[in-house]
Amino acid sequence: MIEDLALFGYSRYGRLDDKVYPAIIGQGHGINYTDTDIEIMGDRIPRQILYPSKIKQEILETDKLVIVPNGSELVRKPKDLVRTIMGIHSRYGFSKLIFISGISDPYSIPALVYLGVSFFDESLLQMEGSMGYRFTPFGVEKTDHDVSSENSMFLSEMMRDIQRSISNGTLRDIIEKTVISSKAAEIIRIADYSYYQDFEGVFPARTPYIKANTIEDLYRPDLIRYRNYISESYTKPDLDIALILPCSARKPYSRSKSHQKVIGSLGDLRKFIHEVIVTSPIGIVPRDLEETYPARFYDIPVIGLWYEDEKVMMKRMMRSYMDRNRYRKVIAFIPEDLDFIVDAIPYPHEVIEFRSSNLQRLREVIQREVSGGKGINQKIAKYDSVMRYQFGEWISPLVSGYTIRRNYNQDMIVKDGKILFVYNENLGKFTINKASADMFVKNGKFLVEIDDFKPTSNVYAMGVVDATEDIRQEDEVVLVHNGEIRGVGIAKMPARAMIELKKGIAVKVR
Amino acid sequence: MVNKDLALFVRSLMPDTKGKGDPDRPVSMWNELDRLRGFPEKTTVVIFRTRGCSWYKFSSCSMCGYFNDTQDVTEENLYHQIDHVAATLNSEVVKVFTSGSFLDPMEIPDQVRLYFYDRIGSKISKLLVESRTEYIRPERMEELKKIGIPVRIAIGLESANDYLIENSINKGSTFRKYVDAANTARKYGMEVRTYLLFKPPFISEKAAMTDIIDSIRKIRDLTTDVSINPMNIQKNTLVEYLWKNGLYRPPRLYSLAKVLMDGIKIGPEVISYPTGGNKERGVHNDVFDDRLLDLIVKSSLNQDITELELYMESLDLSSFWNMIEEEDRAMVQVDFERMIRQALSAVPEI
Repeated sequence: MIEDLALFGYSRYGRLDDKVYPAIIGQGHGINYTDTDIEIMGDRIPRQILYPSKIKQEILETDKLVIVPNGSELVRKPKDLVRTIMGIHSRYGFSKLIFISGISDPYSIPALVYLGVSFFDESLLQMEGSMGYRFTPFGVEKTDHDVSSENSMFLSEMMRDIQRSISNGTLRDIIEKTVISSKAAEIIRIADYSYYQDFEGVFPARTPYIKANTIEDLYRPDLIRYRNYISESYTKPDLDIALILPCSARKPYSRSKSHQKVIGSLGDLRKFIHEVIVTSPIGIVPRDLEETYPARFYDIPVIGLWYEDEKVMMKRMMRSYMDRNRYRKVIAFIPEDLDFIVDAIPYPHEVIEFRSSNLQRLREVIQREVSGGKGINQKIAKYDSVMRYQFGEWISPLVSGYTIRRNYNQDMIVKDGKILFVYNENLGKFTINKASADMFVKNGKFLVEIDDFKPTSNVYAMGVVDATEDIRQEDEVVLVHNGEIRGVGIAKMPARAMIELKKGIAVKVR
Repeated sequence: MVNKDLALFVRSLMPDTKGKGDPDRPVSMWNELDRLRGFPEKTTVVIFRTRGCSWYKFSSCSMCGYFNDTQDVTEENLYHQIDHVAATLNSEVVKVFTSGSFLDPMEIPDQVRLYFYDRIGSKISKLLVESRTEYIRPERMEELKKIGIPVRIAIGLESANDYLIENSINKGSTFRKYVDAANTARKYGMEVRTYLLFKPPFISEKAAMTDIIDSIRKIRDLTTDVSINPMNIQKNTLVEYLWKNGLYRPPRLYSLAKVLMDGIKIGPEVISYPTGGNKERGVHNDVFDDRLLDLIVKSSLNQDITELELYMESLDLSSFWNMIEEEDRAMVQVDFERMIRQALSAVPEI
C-alpha cells in the first residue's frame, strides 16, 4: 500500500510496503528477476519485448506502479522524457507511483524525482560501477577497478537527502543546486518553461526559504506564481505617488539599515506614498506585501550587476504592473545598476541616486509632490493587500470596515465583534478563524469536503471527499461536511492529491 | 503473426530505389569452406540477382538488407547469370542464394529454375538452395529430386519462438510453417539446414543465448544441421537504425562460442560461420579476438569443440558473464556501454 509521508509538488516521499521512496531498487531489494517475469515492488510483469520510443513509447501499468521502461533512451532526449512523465501525471494523477528503468546518469535522479519519479532500477548504475566509473559529489571519475560498493554508498546517501528534502520542503533548492549533469539542467528547464501550469497546480504555496543562487530560480513555479499575481491581479492602495526602492539583504526590507534610513528620513510623509521595491528573482514587491512569501523568504547573491534575463523580467513586470496601477508621479530612489527600470515607468518620474547623502533631497522632492494629497493607514493597507493576496479579491467586500485588535502580540481582523483572521507576522499570512470560515463555504474557496467525522489533529487523505482546485500545499483551508463547517487547518497536499490518495496527511487541523 | 507497428516501421526504413549492378551477372560468387557432405571442403557460393523476396512487398525481416541488392531483372537476365555461373564454376558443391527464395516462382520462374538444374546440376554432386517455408511444396521437391544429386534446403527459421518471430524479427512466418516445410522436404529425401539468428533486436544477449539453445532443442530431429548466424548489421534495416542510435549491440564472440559449444552437445551438426565477425557491424568482443573467431569457424567445420573449450576455459570471464546478467535486467535493451558513455558525457569528469 502506498503511504505518502510528504509531498513536494509531484515529488513524493513515503513508504510502499517496507520500502521508503524515492528509491533505487534492484535484485533482492525491491525487484526480483526471473526468466519469465520481473517482480517490482511485489507487482509481477511478464518478460516481454519493449520497443524504443521511435517505434512505440511503452508505458506499463501494475497495481501500484506506472513503469517507463526506456529511461536509458529517454534521458538523452529530455523533452520526450518530460513529456512522457507529464503525460503519466495527467492520466494517473497521484494514484500510482512512477518507476523509470535504465537510468545511468545518477545526477539526473534529483531532477527526475522533482518530475515525480519515485523508483529507479540500479542495473545500469551497477554496470557503471563495475566499469570503474566512480560517482562523486562533483562529477564522475574513471578508475581502473570495480567501484560498485563506493557508488552504492554515494547513491544511498543521495536518496536519503532527497527524501529528507521532500519532507522539509527544500527539494526545489536541492535540485537547482545540484545540477551536475547538463541533462538534469535540461529536465528542470523544460519542466519550468513548458509545464509551468502543471507544476503551479501542485507546487506548495510556500517553502521554508528560497536560496536564489542560480538563474534557474527565476523560473521557480512559486516565483512565477507571485510575479503573475503582481503583474495581473494586484491593486495598489489608494495612493498616487510611488517611491521605488532597491531591495535589501535583510528581510522584511523595512528592517534593513538602508530602508530604515529612508523610513526615518521620510517619517510621516510615508502615509502619502506607495513604496515599491525592485528586486530579483521576485521582481516587484509592494511594501504592503513585504512580509509575505516569497518576499520575505529569499536570498540572492548581490554583486551590483544584473543578468540580462533578470533585467528583462523586472522591466516587463514593472511595465504591466504600472499599466494596471496608475500613479501621478513616480520617484525612483535607486542605485545606478537599477537605472534600467526607469524605461518601464510610463508616468512622470524622477530618479534620485540611492545614497545617504541624497536622503534630504528625496524628502524635499516627496514633500513637494504630496502637498495637499490624502494619506492612508499603512497597517490597514498592508492587511488589505495580504488578505487579497492570500485568499483572492472576493474577500475584500466581505471584510470591509474591519478593525484591528492586538492581542497576545498578534494582530486580529475584527468585524461585528467577531475575530475573522489572526495575522501571523513571522509567516506573513493570515490564519482562518471559525468566524470567517463561513465566507469560504459561501464562496467555494479553499474548501476540503470530508466524510462525516469530527477532525482532531490530522485529516487523512482517506477522509477527504473533495477539495477546491485553488488549494496548494501549505494553504489555509476550511474543512466542511455537507455545508457544515468542521474545522480549519493547513493543507499538506495539493487538491488533486488529497482527493486521489488514500493514505497520508491531507490537512493539519488547528 | 505480424506486429503492425513493427512491420510498418521496418517498411519505412526500406529505400524506394532499386540496387545497381549488372543484371546479367550474379550479385556475388566466391568459394569458401563448408561441410555439406560431412567433411570440410571447397564450396562455391553464388548469389543470384533477382527481384527479391516476396516479403519485401510488405515489409522485411528486421535484420535483412538483401533488398539493397534487388533489381527488376528479366528472365533473360537470369539465364545470363546462370550461364555465367556455369562457365566459371570450379567446385563440386554449390550453395545458391538469392535475395529471397530460390524456390519462389515469382522470383525465379519455373523454366529458369529448370534451366539452372540442367546447366549446373549436371556439373556438381551437392547442392544447397535457400527458401522461405511457403515455397517448399511437393511439386518443387519433385523438381529437385529429378536433378539426381543430394540437395539440402536451407530455411531461415531464425527462432523457434513465435513471439520473437512476430515482435522482433518480423519474419511473417511461424514455427508451425517451418515444421510443415521441413517435413515436406524430408519426405522427398531432402536434407534440411536451419538458420538461427543469434541476438535479434530488443532482447538481451542472455535471452538470445537461451533462445538459440531452446530452438536447437525443438528442431534437432527435423534438420540435418543448424547454422547459427550471429547478427550482422546490414544497410537500411531496423537493426541498423537501432545500432546507429545506440539501441543495439551485436552479440559478443564469447556468447557465440558458448551457444556453439552447448548447441553441438545437444543438437545435430551445429555450425557458425559469422559474417562480419570481429567487425563493428558483426559479432565481436569489446576487444577483438581473432583467435576466438578462428576457433569458432574451425570447430564448426570439424564439429570438434575440444580446442575451443580449452581456449574458453583459459579465460577469466566472470566479469563478462556478470555484465551479461546485468544487461538482462534492463527492461529495454540498448548498447549499454555506448549509452553509458553518452549519458556520462553530460557530467563533469574529475
